[in-house]
Amino acid sequence: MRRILAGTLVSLLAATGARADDSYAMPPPGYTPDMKSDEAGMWMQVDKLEADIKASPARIRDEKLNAYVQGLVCKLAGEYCRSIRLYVMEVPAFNAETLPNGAMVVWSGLLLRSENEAQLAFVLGHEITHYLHRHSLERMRRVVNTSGFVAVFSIITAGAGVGLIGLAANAAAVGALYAHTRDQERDADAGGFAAATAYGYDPGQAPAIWRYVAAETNANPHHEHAVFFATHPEPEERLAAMQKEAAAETAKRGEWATNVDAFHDAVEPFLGRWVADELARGEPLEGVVLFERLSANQPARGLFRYALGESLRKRNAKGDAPLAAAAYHAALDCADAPPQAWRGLGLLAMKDGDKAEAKEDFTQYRAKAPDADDKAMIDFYLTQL
Amino acid sequence: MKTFSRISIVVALGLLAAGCGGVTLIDPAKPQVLGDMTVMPQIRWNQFSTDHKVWTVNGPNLDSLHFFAGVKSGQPLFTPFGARKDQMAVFDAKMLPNDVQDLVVGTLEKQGYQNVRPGNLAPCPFGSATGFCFDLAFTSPDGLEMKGLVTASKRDASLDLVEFVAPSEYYYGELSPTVSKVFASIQTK
Amino acid sequence: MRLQGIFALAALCGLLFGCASTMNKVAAEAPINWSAEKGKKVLLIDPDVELSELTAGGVTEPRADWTATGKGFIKSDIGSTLTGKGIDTVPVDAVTDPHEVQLVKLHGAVGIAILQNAMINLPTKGKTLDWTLGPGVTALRDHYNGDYALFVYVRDSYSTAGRAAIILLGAIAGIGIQGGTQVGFASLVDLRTGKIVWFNRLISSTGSLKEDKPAAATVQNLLAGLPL
Repeated sequence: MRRILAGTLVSLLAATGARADDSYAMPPPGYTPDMKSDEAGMWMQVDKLEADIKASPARIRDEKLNAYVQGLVCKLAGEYCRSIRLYVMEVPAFNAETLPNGAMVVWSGLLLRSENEAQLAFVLGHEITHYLHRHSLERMRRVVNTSGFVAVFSIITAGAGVGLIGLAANAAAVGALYAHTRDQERDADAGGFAAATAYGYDPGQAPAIWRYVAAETNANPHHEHAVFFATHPEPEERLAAMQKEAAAETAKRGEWATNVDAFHDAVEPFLGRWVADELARGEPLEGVVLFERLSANQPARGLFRYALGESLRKRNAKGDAPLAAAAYHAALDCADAPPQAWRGLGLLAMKDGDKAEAKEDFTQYRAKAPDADDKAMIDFYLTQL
Repeated sequence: MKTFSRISIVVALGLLAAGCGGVTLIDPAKPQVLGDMTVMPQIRWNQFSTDHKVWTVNGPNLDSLHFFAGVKSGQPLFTPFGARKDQMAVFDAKMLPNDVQDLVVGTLEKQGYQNVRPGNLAPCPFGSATGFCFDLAFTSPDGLEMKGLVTASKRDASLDLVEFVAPSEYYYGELSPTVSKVFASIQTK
Repeated sequence: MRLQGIFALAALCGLLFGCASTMNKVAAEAPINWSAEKGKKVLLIDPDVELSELTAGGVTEPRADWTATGKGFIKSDIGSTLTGKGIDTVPVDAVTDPHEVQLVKLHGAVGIAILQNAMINLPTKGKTLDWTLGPGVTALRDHYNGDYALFVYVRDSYSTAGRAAIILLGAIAGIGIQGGTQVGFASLVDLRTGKIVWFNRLISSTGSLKEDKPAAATVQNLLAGLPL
């Protein structure tokens, strides 16, 4: 990977300077806004939010993981590395955001959904560009200048770790207001793309990650606008532009990187927990799409196949039960065979009335997971079979 | 005291919307009928009625005991204020206790709670039947750590479920012995 | 706290206009015999203060400069009020220990419960102030060497242009407030037991935290009835 180049940063800003008002470009690192300004008021709000994030039980404090993501952020942010404070949170949704004061939040759902470092780099680069071009400030001023709606700051801070709140009224009402404009989105795409490809990340990975996440959310007709997509309007129209851009860029080099090994190394210790978090969301329609993709991407990882089995079992659409069973069996064939796959098979068999099968499956589960916290329940099922 | 929970304010306003003054006192001496369940309250409670009954000692954003009586196939446990019914996961008569546990977890997540972890799922007496019970640990949107206790029973294709949640700091420990007694007092038709 | 939410709370029980209304409650076990408490210290938990500008369009815009000034007045007025009564104070500007953070968050939840109770009274509580943070508060006591902790929360908005219409946009959205409206509360926690021994809610449409003398008056209102 190349060294951080000031030139890269300049070209980053220049390439995306297609806007009329460059007063929004972030001043040099170390900048703080004038106390009387609206920007200072905004920073004050997010300073408090940052303090909460910092003290939050959901914060992942693992040094190795933080160092890994921080390293990537620093590379992409260039000289602004020192202005950005990174917080990795255990929240099972796709989101990364930089607050106007330089606090950057990355949710574990984004790390779970990335297949390699390149995909992560494009998303982080996109978010860093929003920060470097002070899009929040621009948006806020636009809202303030149009009358009628209060609570600007809950809008700006809504995304940064307050949980997946099913407050439909809020999401609908504020989505329209705090969504990045299309211009800002194109701007952030361009900036992220430029920064990441400058470091040799495979351009084809840029449209890939956005496409995957769109597919997941589109799978659920009752999908309440996720926090991320409330701020980033549906990416489909940007995808076409991004594919084109990626195709053109790919030809420029013989070799591009995805850094998949470094990425796996960094996230490996957390996958079990993050998969459990995702399953706990109770969104099997999305889970099926996600885990189908992740299973295809890493066929030897039983954990993803187990998760696919769980999602299919819970989706419970016509034909899902045998598909779920197949996924559980495939999981058990992997080296990291999760014992919970036996439980999944048992639950399927029990629902299907196949007592003999259920008995065998639950017996295996109890043997392979002797300390499972639902062992009393499984033992009870066994008495009924 | 950095931020107010948006949920808490919404709970407050939701309850206000349900009817300013719609709280009744639950007398510990009298059995209370909730759907097909009859329980002995043990202590004095304050009862709110929204789409289900909620008992609290100190305020519904602190401790709360929820009675979901007779939930039918296709229905969610309840629809939290501000969420849409079609977004909620629903009960199905064919569900096993493991599935009902998942339903409770998913419902809490839709309410805005995070890192919901259930544990110790086991068969438990529910009236004269054998139901099931489990505990919960999770975090509020403001980062306040919470704990919970659930008991339930599926009878005649409908679900009776009672759920207690409170902050880990002091409130859960203080009230869970009483809640366990309420659970133990459940009688069903 | 989302600005609109607390103003919504105020409005919904019709406490909007033209009065400085305080709701001052002292727990049954207090009165604290302060002369017997000589040498006791009060932790001043960093006040949660926000001053905003209400624009003609009905948007409340937080002002960092006003907030810094207002917070400064609040801290110094509280400090001097307590010192004037011969009470030692210990400023606690940032809490980072995870258990202590939980205690501070718990206080936020308890504060809401007390406010909610003022709107919808819980029959079991009646007119009494009967809430606690539990005995876990000894952690704060041991760490900072305090016997009591004072928590203060204030939101204040000032309209500088025209009058804003009052809009109630359902349960989540906010309300534009005419004129300056102050909403706040203060509570005193006994760090030996965790009990909230005193709680005061302030809702006022007059008063200013931007200037010295009016700020002192606001703080007096906020601390009205403080049993120290």
